[in-house]
Amino acid sequence: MIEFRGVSLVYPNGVLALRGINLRVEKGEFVFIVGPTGTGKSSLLKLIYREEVPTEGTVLVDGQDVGAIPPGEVWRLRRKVGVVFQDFRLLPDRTVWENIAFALRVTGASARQIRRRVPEFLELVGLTHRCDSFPSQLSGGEQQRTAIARALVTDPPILLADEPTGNLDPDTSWEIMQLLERINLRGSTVLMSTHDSEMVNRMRRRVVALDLTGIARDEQRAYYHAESVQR
Amino acid sequence: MLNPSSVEFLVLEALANIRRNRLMAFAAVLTAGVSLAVSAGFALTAIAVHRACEKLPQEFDMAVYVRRGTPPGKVSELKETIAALPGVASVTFISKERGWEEFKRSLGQEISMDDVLYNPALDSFKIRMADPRMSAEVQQRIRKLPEVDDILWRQSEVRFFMGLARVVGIAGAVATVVLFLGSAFIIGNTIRLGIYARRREVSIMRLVGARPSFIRFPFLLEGMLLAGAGAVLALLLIRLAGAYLEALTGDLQSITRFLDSGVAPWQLAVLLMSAGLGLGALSSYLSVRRYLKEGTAEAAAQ
Repeated sequence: MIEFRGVSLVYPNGVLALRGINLRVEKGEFVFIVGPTGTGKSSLLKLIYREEVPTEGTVLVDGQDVGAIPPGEVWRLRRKVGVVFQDFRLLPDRTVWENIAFALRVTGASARQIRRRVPEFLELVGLTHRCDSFPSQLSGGEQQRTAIARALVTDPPILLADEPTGNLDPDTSWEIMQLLERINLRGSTVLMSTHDSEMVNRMRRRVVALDLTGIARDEQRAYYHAESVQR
Repeated sequence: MLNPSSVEFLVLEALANIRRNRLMAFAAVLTAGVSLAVSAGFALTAIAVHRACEKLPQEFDMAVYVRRGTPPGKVSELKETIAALPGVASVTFISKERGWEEFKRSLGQEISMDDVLYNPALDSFKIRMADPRMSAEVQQRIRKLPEVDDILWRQSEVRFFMGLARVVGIAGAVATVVLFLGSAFIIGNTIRLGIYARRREVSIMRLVGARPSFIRFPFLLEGMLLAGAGAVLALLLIRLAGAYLEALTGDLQSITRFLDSGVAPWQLAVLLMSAGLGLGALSSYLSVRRYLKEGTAEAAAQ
């Protein structure tokens, strides 16, 4: 589904974000990307939805070389990949319903599809009762749930979450985590970057740990830190 | 490719954009209107002056004098020959008797010609040109005819006005193009500011996989609406300026009868409207394209 082959990323200002990354994520997997700030967690996700292009190596999504997609065709890739950010990025002057419908409207969905799918995803994220609220009237957790619904409403098989609980309190973070797990169980491949060690330890999923030299650890059913540190 | 709900969304989006950025939209309509009015007004004035400069030399008649003793039959042949020359509008015969009378009358009471016992005047033709640019050539060809004694024409005046017409034509065209490009730049910049104000929407559109043409469309429509409204404003301004000038020069018919651009009001409306819409579409297309190329989805959202 997603494959990194010897990928390095150097930003134009000379900062080395990623070095020699080799990684394979199968369809339907749930993967935590962890590591200290500056080790390239966000950059790794950006390479998947082609916000960045690798300096070396190739990134494959569904067998397609992402770096080779011409700029005018990137939209096709973006429809396969939903993205959620720490700062939610909702449109402040639109309601929850409109924020979710926006993703459908701009990808050319019909009025009927919109009427059918928006309530379905409002229910999935548990916001049916808040559909007429504006983002400023929502809690952080509700805003993130709106953002998740927006990312998924167009049915992308992959969901990338870049520190989605970074701005939330522990209880709300756990709610979001459970929502992401439910989404994973529905069949979506989920990659989530995080600093939240407690959550990673509770979930016991695959953990890819980055450090300044590249991938330091890649383990199934793992903890935030290497197991030796846990004990 | 687009379903009805997408079209509705795009149109509503463009209108909402205008409503949300009312002040900027107002400024864009105003600048587009004023700059279109200035460039169109300048073009109209340039055309009118150009036409006047071309028309004025038509008022200068060319006088062709017939050699003394030419038989009347030859004189009428000569008239036909001249009338057939390219660029000649009319040829009027003035007999030597009438010519002498006119000459005497032009001297007035002060000088009496009653003592002159014979008529020194020659038969002549008054030639009016349809196309004054042909004057020099026509003059050369007439001079070669054996029955012609001499030609009088205001060569330097004709040359001056023809030259002036050319200069005004070129300067007018250049100034109009420069002013038009200026308006394009202003509208494009307004659209760019609009895109910047809505960078979050644009970034989300790109993030969820909207086609580039879909992202561009509301901005193109917005640019066309703004510039179209500007064109209407420009039309209004030009009509107002025209009415004011007419009121001002009402008593100066002798001057203003020359100043006519020959552009009908409906032609001006069609021209300005198409210029406005084309201007709006082109400048917003270039702005959006540049913006989409420069800004990445995420950088734009932050």
